[in-house]
Amino acid sequence: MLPRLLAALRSQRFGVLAGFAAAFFLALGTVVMDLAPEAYAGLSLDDMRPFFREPRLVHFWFYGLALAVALWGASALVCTWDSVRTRLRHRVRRVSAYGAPLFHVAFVLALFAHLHNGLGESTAARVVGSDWTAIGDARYRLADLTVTTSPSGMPRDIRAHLERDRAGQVDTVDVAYNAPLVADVGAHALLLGRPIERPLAVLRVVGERRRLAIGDRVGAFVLTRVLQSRSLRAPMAELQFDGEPSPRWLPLTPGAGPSELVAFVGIDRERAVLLTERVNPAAPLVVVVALVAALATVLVVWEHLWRARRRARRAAVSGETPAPAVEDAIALG
Amino acid sequence: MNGPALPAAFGPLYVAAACAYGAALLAELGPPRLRRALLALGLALHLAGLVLRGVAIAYFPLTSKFESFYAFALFVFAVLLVAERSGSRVHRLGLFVVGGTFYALTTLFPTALSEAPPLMRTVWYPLHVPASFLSYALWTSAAAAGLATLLGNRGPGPRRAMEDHAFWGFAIFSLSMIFGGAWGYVAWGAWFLWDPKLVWSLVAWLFYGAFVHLKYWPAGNAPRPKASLALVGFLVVMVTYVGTSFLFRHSSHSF
Repeated sequence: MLPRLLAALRSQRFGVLAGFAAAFFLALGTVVMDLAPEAYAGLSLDDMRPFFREPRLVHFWFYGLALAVALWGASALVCTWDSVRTRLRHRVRRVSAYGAPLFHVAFVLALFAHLHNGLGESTAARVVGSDWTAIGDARYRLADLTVTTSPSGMPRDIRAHLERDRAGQVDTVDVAYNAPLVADVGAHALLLGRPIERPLAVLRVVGERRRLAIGDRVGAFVLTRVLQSRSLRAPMAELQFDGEPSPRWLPLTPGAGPSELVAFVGIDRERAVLLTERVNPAAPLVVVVALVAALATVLVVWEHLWRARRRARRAAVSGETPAPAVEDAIALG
Repeated sequence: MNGPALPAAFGPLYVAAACAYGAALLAELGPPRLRRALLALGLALHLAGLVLRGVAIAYFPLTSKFESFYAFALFVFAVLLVAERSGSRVHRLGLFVVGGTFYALTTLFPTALSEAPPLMRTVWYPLHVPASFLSYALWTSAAAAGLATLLGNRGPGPRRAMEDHAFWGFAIFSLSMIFGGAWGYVAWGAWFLWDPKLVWSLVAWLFYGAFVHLKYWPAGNAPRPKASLALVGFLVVMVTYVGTSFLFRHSSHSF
């Protein structure tokens, strides 16, 4: 059984057909996703979990793709192993001759990276204003926001200057479009979404005036909502107290006296930035894949040029041009 | 918010390049040297028009559908100049029809300049997009050479061009995918998205990845099946390049 499977994987026909099948299933997938968008509502960025969490018939193209790609990857590995052995046996010392095998290795690693990230990635929206906001293992607050515009008024660059507090060590970092804050070889990234004006609830807590954003905690409660609409005569703040099953609504009481424990006295606004926190567990592997694939591409191109030069020399000597496939078979060794 | 003014010289350059290309087409009936000279003249005028637009917006001039089609036509005509060596009229005319069609299609879009939004302002943009366009143009050439093969031109020229241009397109597109992945990471935090444009880019890459391996499979390497697949590849390229913007409802790419 195993020798037969290896023989099948080793055949170039198998690899080529698996490649075309993968392209076909992927193309089919775009049509299915476009025709049935409701089946893919939870799919974002490179997430693959919905395909496995809720197996559905409509995802048939993805399962076909996964099978085709897995077989292609296995075939690429087996063929690469064979071709490297052949080259070593023939003592091929040209580095460029190993470009294609290297490219195949990068391809298989890229497949693993896609799977790993597709099953482990995460995205979370974060709002950072003038107060400290915990993101990952640090706290951030907005120190300044600079917007550079062209003479026509189109923004050229939007840059958020953040103060970062890591275990008491405070430094300043910038986040801008195409310039995220990256850590752990890209596994963690903080990206600029857009600048916003966020509402703040002004509360008097035991006589002390506090400005709270949604999600901020003071003692035993968290601010969960601020309602402000034309249909309401006055804004309202919603607080969730620890141990209580439902939240409490506080009406606006601008003249709240110091005797009240918690009072909602107004709404304020502040400049903030919407950030995206991305976790890409496969990022370090992807960096390796990108470097290996780029190097392998350069080597493959070099090898192609070397063969073309040799072909031209042979043609000049013999006066005829060999067929491409024959020529490549000769070069393979 | 008004964009920068379109340089006055752009219109004459646009018309002059079209005239030079038209003359190069007519020169099919004349000596090859004249044809090549006219094509090179058209390319120089075409490129000058693109550079002029770039200088006016002080950025890489690929910010609108007009510029996208205009630049793609430039790449197709540039590949046509290289494809002259294949010696096949069908190959040349195939490329000419595609390049000429995209040049003509630019008339459907406003010529006004638009500035690049902040997300486009990255080094990855001028690395990723032109490399993609060059690959599309090379794959178009492979398809045109395939058509020449199917129509009975069995000489080594078109067949070699079909193989070579598919290979070069694949190699350059591989680098383009790496640059595009890097841009995706710094812009959205992900090197791949379930977006029609990105998925079809992967379809094109997988398709040509399999295509360049056909030479190791004797049945697949026969001239007619390979030439037919080169034509299928052209459809893949067209869906990737324009189809994802016009056929699919949800794409983060406008062109």
